[in-house]
Amino acid sequence: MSMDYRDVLDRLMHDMRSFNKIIKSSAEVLLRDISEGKTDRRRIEGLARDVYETAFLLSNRLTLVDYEVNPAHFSSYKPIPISIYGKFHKALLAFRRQAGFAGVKLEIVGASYGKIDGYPVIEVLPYLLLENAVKYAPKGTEAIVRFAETPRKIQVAVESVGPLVEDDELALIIENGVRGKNAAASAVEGSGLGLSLAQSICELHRAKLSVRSFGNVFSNEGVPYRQFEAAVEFQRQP
Amino acid sequence: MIKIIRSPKSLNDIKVARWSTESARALTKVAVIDDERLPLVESLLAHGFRIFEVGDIPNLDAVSEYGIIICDVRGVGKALNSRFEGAHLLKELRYRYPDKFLILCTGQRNKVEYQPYFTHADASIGKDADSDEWSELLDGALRRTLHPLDRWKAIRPKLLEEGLSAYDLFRVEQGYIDSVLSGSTKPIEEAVTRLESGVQSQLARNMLIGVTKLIAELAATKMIGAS
Repeated sequence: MSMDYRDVLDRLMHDMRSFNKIIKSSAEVLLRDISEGKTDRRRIEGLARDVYETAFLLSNRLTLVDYEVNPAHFSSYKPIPISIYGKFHKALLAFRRQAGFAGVKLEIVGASYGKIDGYPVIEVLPYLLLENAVKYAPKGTEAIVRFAETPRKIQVAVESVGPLVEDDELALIIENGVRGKNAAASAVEGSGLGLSLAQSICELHRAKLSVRSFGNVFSNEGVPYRQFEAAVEFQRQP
Repeated sequence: MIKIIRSPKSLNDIKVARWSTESARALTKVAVIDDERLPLVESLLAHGFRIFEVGDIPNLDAVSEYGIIICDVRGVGKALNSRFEGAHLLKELRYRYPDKFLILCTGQRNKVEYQPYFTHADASIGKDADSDEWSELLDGALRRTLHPLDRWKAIRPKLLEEGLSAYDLFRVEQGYIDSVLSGSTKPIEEAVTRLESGVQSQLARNMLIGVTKLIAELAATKMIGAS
């Protein structure tokens, strides 16, 4: 596959500016509060957390570029034991602010105590799935991360409301990096690459990614919307 | 003449009886080769890891006592005078220390032209990793570094490459297994001194000294040996 570096750079610059905007505004308020002698510990902690969590997302985004440009790097090492629940939980906390601004409730249901044999790039998978869920979800809806595990498997599903994906598009959006026609018709910016990169990371981990669009169809600003789920099944470490 | 008077033991007989994250963290020294401070070093020290920031190194001997080596790319490996800097240093470290756990720590993971050098590391991590990622990776590295079976598997092919005969390798391996099972360095030491082919290579000698030292450390902390 030939690499379009210009496209990688354009998308990165766009996302870096969004993250930087949050970091700068939070840091600015924090500095002002401190200079004015404000001592509301909860507020100060919240602002510091905004900075940390946005920087965390920014790190994930940079790792994603490393993966896009040089994927061989990430498969050339032996996997290490990784708590996949921990990765999703951390990403979920980091996305809560963005979700809150968008009027989307972000929750995690269930738990998992098992580990998977993973590569450090797995850090980016929750980022990709949660970013996809939060950015398309209309105001007032919920995005839910569900965990379930058996002695051999760990299942995680991210369920949210998003532009209806036609049946014949489902395979294409994870295999070929194609954007669904209703997603393209919505006001949400996107490249269509998120889920195909998620699929690539799942393949690296011998995990199975599946997507489905289900439930009642309703119209949101002229675009048909429906429940959407991206689910991953991991092999659990013995 | 080959004379075997007892049934050989299998590497599968090697088990680590007692293991705790705390003792593993306290046992292994971790070197950081970087011309800048490692971010979060205080946090890692607070987690109980034994981190030593050694800066750029003048030669490969400078990190002989460390089980895990973290290596940056930019601004290190100057003694080797290579345009690939720390990436080239990684390659040399791997040749010299086949059983040490090498961690590439860099913001250059997207450099495709460096990739042939990067593959000499056992793992890689971004410069902006947080303390969770660091401890996850270092604990994984400790599991490999302190596991007698993994360590032996890493050096065995290298010993053959360095000229040890298959028979001598077998005898050293039996001594190694006996040492791990008994928690005593005596069997491996005896096996090494009785080698028929001798150990001509300094590299092979270093590797054998390294595994003998590992056994002594594991036995001292009761992580191997009869329970």
